[in-house]
Amino acid sequence: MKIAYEFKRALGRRSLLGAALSVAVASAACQDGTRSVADTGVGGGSDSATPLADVPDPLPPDANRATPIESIPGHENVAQDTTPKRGPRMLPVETYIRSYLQLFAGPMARPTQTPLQVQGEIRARDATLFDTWNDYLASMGLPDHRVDINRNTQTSPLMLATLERTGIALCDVTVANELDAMTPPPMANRRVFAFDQPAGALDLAGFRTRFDLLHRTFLGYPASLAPDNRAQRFFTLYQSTVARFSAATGAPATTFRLKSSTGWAAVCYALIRHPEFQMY
Amino acid sequence: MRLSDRRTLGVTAVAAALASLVSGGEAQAQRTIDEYRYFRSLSIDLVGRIPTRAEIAAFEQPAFNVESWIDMQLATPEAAERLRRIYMDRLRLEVNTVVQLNPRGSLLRRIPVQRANGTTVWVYYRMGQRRANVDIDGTMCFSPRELGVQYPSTGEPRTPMCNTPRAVSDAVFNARVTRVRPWWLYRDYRAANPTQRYNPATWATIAPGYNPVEGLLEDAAGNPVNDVFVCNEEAGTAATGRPFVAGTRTPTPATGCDARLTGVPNTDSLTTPMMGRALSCETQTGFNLSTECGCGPGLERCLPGAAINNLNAGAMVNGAIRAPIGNENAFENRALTSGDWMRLWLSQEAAYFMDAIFQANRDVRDIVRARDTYINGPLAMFYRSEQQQSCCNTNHLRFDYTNPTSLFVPANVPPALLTHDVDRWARVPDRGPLASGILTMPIFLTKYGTRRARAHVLYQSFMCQEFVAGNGTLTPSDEPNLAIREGCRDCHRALEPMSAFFTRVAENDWTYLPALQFPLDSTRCRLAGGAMAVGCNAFYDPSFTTATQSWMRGIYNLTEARANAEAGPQGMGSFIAAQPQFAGCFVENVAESFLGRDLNVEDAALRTQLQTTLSGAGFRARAMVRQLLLSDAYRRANNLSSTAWRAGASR
Repeated sequence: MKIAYEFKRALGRRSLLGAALSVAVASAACQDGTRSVADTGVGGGSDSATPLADVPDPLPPDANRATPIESIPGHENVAQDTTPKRGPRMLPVETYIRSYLQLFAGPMARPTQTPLQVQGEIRARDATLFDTWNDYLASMGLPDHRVDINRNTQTSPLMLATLERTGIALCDVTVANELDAMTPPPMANRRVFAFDQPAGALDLAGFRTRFDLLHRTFLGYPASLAPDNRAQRFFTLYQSTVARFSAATGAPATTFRLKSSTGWAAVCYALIRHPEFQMY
Repeated sequence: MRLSDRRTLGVTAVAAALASLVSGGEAQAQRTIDEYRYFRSLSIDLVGRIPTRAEIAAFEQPAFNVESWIDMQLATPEAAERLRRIYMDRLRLEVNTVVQLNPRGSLLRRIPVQRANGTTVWVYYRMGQRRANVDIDGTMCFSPRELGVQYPSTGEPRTPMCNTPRAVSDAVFNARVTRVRPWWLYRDYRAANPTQRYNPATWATIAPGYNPVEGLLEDAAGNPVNDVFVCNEEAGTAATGRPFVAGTRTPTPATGCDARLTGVPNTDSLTTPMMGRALSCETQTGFNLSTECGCGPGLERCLPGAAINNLNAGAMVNGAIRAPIGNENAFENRALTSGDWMRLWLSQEAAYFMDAIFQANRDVRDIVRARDTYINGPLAMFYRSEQQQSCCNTNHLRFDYTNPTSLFVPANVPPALLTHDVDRWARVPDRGPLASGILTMPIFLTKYGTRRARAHVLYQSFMCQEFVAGNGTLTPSDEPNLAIREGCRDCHRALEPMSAFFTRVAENDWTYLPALQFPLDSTRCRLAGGAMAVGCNAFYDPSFTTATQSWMRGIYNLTEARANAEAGPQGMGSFIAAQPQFAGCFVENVAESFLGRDLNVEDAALRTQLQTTLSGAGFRARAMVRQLLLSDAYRRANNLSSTAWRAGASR
């Protein structure tokens, strides 16, 4: 699968943090790598045939046949890895949407919202942030069997831009509801940002605790297991974002009340556009 | 059961599974990153979303048993949907607006009629409705002369030409029109005096999902209505009607804007031989040939449109035109035409049917051969009445086919299921003796309109085979039999006998053509004087018609095709299910979807194991899917190192 990591702002909309943040967030997500599983070797599989004594021969008689590696002189005892090698799969678009709905459904006590309810909530906050689901479904890869358009199993810049757009919109609404509100909901009622915001500046230790919760929420495992000192790099993103929006002069406009909210929104953007979120 | 109910059960099942799987475990287990990713993959594939924090916490408990979790999750609607999606993606069982699934006789139009007191009212009618009055036979029950308006067959008049409304006198109006309390306004429309009028607040629980557009609830002035004006004939409630023989009739001379835009129907040559028969008013025969056939009690046989005389622009209900993640999760809510509405439900029937097979862990061969199905209220209306409106037209009548044999026996529709019951799906244990899985569903038969297209998609989807021509020599040929013709025979030798299974299901339609009226070799249609009899061409293939034989379309003069034609779609279902490729193809479809890649030579052992498991379980998919999810192939489905992957490697 070819993955196009071109995090373009193709839809031309603005996030609450402004476009300036996009590159930094994309960088945090992209440079983070994709997998850290042990490298089981590349290219060792396809040229080596598994002994097939007990299985039907799937090849037609005139097909090209692989040569068993052990039959090549000098290779009798070479270890083989015949496992097919694949990069991560795209999440089915239905899974994206259900995951979005689960993450951004508002208070925990409330049942998971329908797509139309989520759409209404986002547009009520900022109509320029999100159009309608119908505008996005095709570019997200949903098949349209009415006109024989198949499921899109490969990414494209437009798809990534759409996933980014919908993710950013949902992040913004959730930051606003769970962190930035004058009276945030009780911790038990928060679906994403189930942590408090300290009164002062956040240090790395404090960030790690909170980031771990987000990491589990979006990527499904503790941040401590992530490769390449991920927490530190996301902390840098958080800090730089807060600093940019806190600058005495030239700070980008934001509708968030708290500067720290801009930092958490940036972390949310980076996680929801992370390759590990978008694939499996 | 509503889909949303099923989803709720699914969520409950997940919660119950988690609770039971972690009982007694408090301390967190030391999970590896690969284990976390495996659990995430399982959640994506079986739950249809990423795991929640609570689910991850449960997974981290030492007592958590992944295999038990998989077993419980495999029984949920979400897991069934995952499997169904594989086949819906292969079969693409949705149709666009080109496919009109609502026959003309089921569609009620309406136009504004000006009354003598100066008010304007909506009057509903069917285009093509038979009436004794020659001036209005086959069209609206007021003539252009009476209305002052000349309505085209669809849409509004082309202003300002022929659009100067005249008031219709009370005498004429009352003689032509009846007040009806229609089904779209009343839950108890079949009662003598319906009282349970639509109310959005109360009907949200009575008939959730049913949301008629405001235009159907209001009169022409925008005031709520309790009943509607309908032309007398359309208001007819008779089950059967006598053939209408008009005799010699002369329309009132009219020219210009007073003239009718359509010709006067003349069907006496068809109806005269039928005198004394009772024609079913559920059928196109009754609609076309009897003045006594209307829309039935409460107009239940008909779907209304709310725009002036235009069924395409006219809306009927508010809803979603598609439901990719379930009807309860619509992505839009807009005014739908009756066509949009029925296309959605006929597609959803296939989805519910497959969901049920996978969720109950039934034999997956049932997809092509089971006789049960699931329908909701709109589909109940369709199968009770509308489906029969596709037959019988003039060509059928020439073969004395007046009362269609249905692939879905109308009497098998649950009587309690009313058209309003949008979110209520009921199992129909037996559609009838001709039913065979998806193969006899209208959505399949219209999506794949031709016999060859039907055979081809089944060949691809359930046998994982493709028709590929060999390296033959193409020589000019006028051989009509493609199973013989050089260059064609490589594919058609296999395709024609398979497509012959659909000989008795009309193309682009679901009308069944029984042997009594349509013998495979028709003596009536053999060449006489060098020509086939009128009407034969629609059903019998001129390419295979001589003075001594006339084969039905789809037979192609092939011996094996004749038996297949008589076996019908059920024969096709049995044929596919019995093929040695079926199990392997099912395994391939499922495994490739879950692994996100093609199966290749290195997967031979896995393929064999899965195939053995599927066959050993009586073609119930759950054990095979379980084995796949526990396999190394699935655990390492995304095993390419990030370094290699980012460098552009594809393997």
